[in-house]
Amino acid sequence: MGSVRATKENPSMNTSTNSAEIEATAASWFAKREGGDWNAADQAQLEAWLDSSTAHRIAFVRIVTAWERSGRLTALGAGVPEGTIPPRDAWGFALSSKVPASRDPRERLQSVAGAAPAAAPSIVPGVRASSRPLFSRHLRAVAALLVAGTAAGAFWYRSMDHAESYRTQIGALTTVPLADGSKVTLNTDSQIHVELSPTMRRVKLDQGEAFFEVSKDGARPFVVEIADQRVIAVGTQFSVRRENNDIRVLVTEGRVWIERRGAADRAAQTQLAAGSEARTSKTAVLIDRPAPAQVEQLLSWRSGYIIFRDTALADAVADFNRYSARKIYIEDPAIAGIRIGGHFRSGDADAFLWLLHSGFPINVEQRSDRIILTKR
Amino acid sequence: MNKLLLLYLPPAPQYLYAVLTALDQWFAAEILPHEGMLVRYLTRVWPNSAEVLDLRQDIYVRVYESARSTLPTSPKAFLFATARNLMTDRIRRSRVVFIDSTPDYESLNLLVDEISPERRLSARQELRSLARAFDSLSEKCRNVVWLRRVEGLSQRETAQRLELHEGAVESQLARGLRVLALAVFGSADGVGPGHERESEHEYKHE
Repeated sequence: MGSVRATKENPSMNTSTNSAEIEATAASWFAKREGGDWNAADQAQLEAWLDSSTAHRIAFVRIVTAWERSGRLTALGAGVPEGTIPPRDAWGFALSSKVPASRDPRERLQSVAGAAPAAAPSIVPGVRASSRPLFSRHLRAVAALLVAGTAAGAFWYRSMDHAESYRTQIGALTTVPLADGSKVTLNTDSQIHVELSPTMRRVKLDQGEAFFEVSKDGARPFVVEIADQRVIAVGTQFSVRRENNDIRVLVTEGRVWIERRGAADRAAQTQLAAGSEARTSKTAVLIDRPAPAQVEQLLSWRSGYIIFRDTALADAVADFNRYSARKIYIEDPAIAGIRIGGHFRSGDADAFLWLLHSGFPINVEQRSDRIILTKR
Repeated sequence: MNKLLLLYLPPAPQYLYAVLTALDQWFAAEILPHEGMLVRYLTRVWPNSAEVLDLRQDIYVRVYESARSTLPTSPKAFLFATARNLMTDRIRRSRVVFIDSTPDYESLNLLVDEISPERRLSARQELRSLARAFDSLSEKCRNVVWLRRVEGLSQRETAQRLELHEGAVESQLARGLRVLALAVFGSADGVGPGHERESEHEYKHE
């Protein structure tokens, strides 16, 4: 009787009988999009398909979300040598009653061997009990060879990735082109570590400040990691400045997500649009929309300038000190609050000090290792 | 200057959502998590379990279309109210008279929370459910999913490693994703006999 109803004439029911096909199509679109040879024409076709029916869109949303959430599977890869596909039921929790998970380490080893397509684990149960010890010794040898083989394979795949570190000295400023077409500008005394893999572009900001111009690649997110926080972009421009484990992120184009791995394993995210700045400290995020002049000020370092606008002397000095090994100290709190403004070359502290000396009641004492400011 | 202090808010969508609209993201965050419960509910009250997947789709479409104009304040209650309305509409419009199996009108009106308490899967439960779905895949499909999703190899690398055509890798990934989706949204777990038919319906349709 069910079949009679399923083929009824109602048009809405008619289209709805395609739900499994729609889902299959959505999954195919997704797999194609993740496949690598994705171009603008494909994107346009996908968008047309998504826009042609809400059911299409929902099916796609569902698959995207499933892919995202299935990332949890990577937890299963922990402890598994790269290049090895573990056997079924190797997860430590019994998944099915039919095939109890093996607790015998020898069997686990065999099963690892079975991961290679050639040696199917199903061979093992067919072996007669009497011949087993000998057989399993052979299998162990085979397993060892296979593991060695896949380990070599893993190394080869690894070496296809690009991993590079870049570092700037105090006072330096440099722009680094990355292999994916992105560009990173490193401010003074900064260090990044870049890893480009087929699924992710990963940059660790070990210290300092960097401005990222990310080339668009929807299949390969660009992730900047700072301790337990991540700034995630697909194609956009933003700067990240690290102070200990707190960060300041300023987005000039597109949008990024800021994510922190909390105490729970659930990641928390904040979305940041162009023109916004986020500052994080411990568990809070402060989001601000700076005025254009302020944005210019925040990013002026990229052209080698520091801009002050009604800036307290103490802050200005702290800024200059980032660019010089010979630090400036304010010995007299009475002058720390003096407000100053102006454009300075970040490497040219002398001009700054000369201005302080000539324009303010400030005495500048030059020592070999430091500079002392006192009230005149 | 407008400053806004934001404490970290509930888990938000991941980077992949960059392709999705705000409404898509809302749908993924507020509606999809109830899928397991919805499917169990439909399986229970709708006489023909072969139609459950279609029903689910139509309900989703209605919810989504209506959310275009106004987001419901209680997404879960709205989802189930939509489910009830849609089933009622279908019964009314249908020319077929149910003879041997009438829909259970009583349970159509059950309060959602009486049917089954919402289960938020713990991380470990979710992983277990995913692992089970993963292990249920065919050998080829399972290998593809592992290399693509866990090891993060590209489609080309996966094809080389498994000695498959890239097209095969692509289609196996698509197939695997649909199975994983069931696990992710909880409809693969603890569903009655209807579930078997439902999943058959879903996977053998390619």
